[in-house]
Amino acid sequence: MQHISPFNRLRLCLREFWELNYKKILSIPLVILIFFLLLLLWPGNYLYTLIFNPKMAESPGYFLAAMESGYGRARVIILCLIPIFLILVSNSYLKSLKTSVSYAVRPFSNLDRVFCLWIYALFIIGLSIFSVYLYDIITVSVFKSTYYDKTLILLEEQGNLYPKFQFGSFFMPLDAKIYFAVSGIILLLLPFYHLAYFLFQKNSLLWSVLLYILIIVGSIYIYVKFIINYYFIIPFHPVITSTIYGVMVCIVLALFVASFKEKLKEREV
Amino acid sequence: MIRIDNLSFHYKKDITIFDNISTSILPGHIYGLLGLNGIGKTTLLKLICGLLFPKGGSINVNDFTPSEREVSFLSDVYFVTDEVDLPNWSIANLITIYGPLYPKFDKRYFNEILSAFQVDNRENLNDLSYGQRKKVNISFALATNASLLLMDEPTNGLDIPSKTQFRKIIAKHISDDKTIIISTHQIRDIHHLIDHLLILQKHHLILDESIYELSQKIKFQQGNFEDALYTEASLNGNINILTNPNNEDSSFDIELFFNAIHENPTFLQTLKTINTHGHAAH
Repeated sequence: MQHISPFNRLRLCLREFWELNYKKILSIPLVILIFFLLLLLWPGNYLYTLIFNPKMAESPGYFLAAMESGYGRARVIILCLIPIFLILVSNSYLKSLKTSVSYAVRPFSNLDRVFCLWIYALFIIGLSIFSVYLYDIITVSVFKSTYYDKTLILLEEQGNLYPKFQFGSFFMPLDAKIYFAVSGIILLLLPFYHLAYFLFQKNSLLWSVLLYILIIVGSIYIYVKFIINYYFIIPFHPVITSTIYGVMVCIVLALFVASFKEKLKEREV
Repeated sequence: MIRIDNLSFHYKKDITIFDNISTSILPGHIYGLLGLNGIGKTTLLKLICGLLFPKGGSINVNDFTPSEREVSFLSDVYFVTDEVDLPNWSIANLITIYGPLYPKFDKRYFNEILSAFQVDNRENLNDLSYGQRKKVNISFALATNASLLLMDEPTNGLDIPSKTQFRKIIAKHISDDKTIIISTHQIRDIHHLIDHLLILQKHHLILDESIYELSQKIKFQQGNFEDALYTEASLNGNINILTNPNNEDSSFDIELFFNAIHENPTFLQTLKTINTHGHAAH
């Protein structure tokens, strides 16, 4: 009997996930585009004012204020859609793994399922971030080519010869650090979400968030009470300290992923 | 071969489903798993394929422990559930994605069975009726050529010609290296296929015997007999279960036999005292 190789099995597992979810995955860039357009056309925003109140949009004071802080922090909100995409895509898959007989007896290993979920999670995060980055760059480029010179002239008239545009300006794309921070937070939460789906019968999302908060609060409490207050704590070099913390976080995440795999193994359908 | 030793199982501690069940299920046979609703037929099938874990005792399937759900074990087992929970793909996609997972999968055989069931293999599963989806699932199950095929109410939702086709296909499919266990209430659909009976009652496997052995002990006859072990009235008069001392041939009526066990608590005891020549053992 010629068994399929683990690599081909994983490929089929990925294909299965894709066939089940490709519509949702492919709609992600479209949803982000819609949110970007909504953001640009939100009441009070420059484009909205330009369409519905062109006189006000022409006034130099309003124009400069809009160009300097037109987005505000709203673009970051779009990045917060990524966990929602992940939940929407992986929820039905996790549910099938938990309750469906045909999924449970299909000859995929638990490791295949774990890899599949993670590969798609990384893909979805990557696709979402790429979409946000692309739309951000496009809108910034359009604003720069259309309004940058006019803004500079108006600022010069006000005596600002060397203007520096801040975060939130129509001329400043999102900082790479924000993408990394959002991705990092999501990747920290994701293994817990996967595990929680199998730990709790109902309301797994709510319970997992509550438990996660409890873990964070507990960790901070222990850190403050028992570590920071001790004056004799060995002063490590900051790089070493951050490395230790990084390794510790990775160990905790690895434990979550391992627990999830074990939960998959132990589940009864 | 499936070996079940002292199997105990419960969902809740105070509600026993199985209590010390033991049996051996051999390849080359079609087993009929019978019992009343809620007695645990589906549970037993789930335990055999590793979806549930025994609370006591052990199950061994072809040297595998089902609860470990090893890929090699799962690729040689197929469970046809009553509710078809296949994804809403095209049939072609189903074959492309799930077919290679089963080493003995035969695409040509799949198409053959599907065309016998009169289902177009270019269809999408979400465009098919419940019965048609079931046909696709049965076709896929058979095409995997798995050593162990578990079927839970396989004829539910099948139209009359398809039930005939199903019987023909299963009869052709069984071979010395394959085991089929069929759990059903619609016994008339498949009673000519089954060659071994497993009957569950009150947490125990109360009957584990081949139809051949049973046929040597008892016979089925219409008419009025005072010494009948069990009698049931029908439109054509009484149908009786009688001892078979002369080893006469009669069509084994599984439904009547099951009713006899269910309705008459002493029937099984009497049956156990009869030897294979239809005589009461001393």
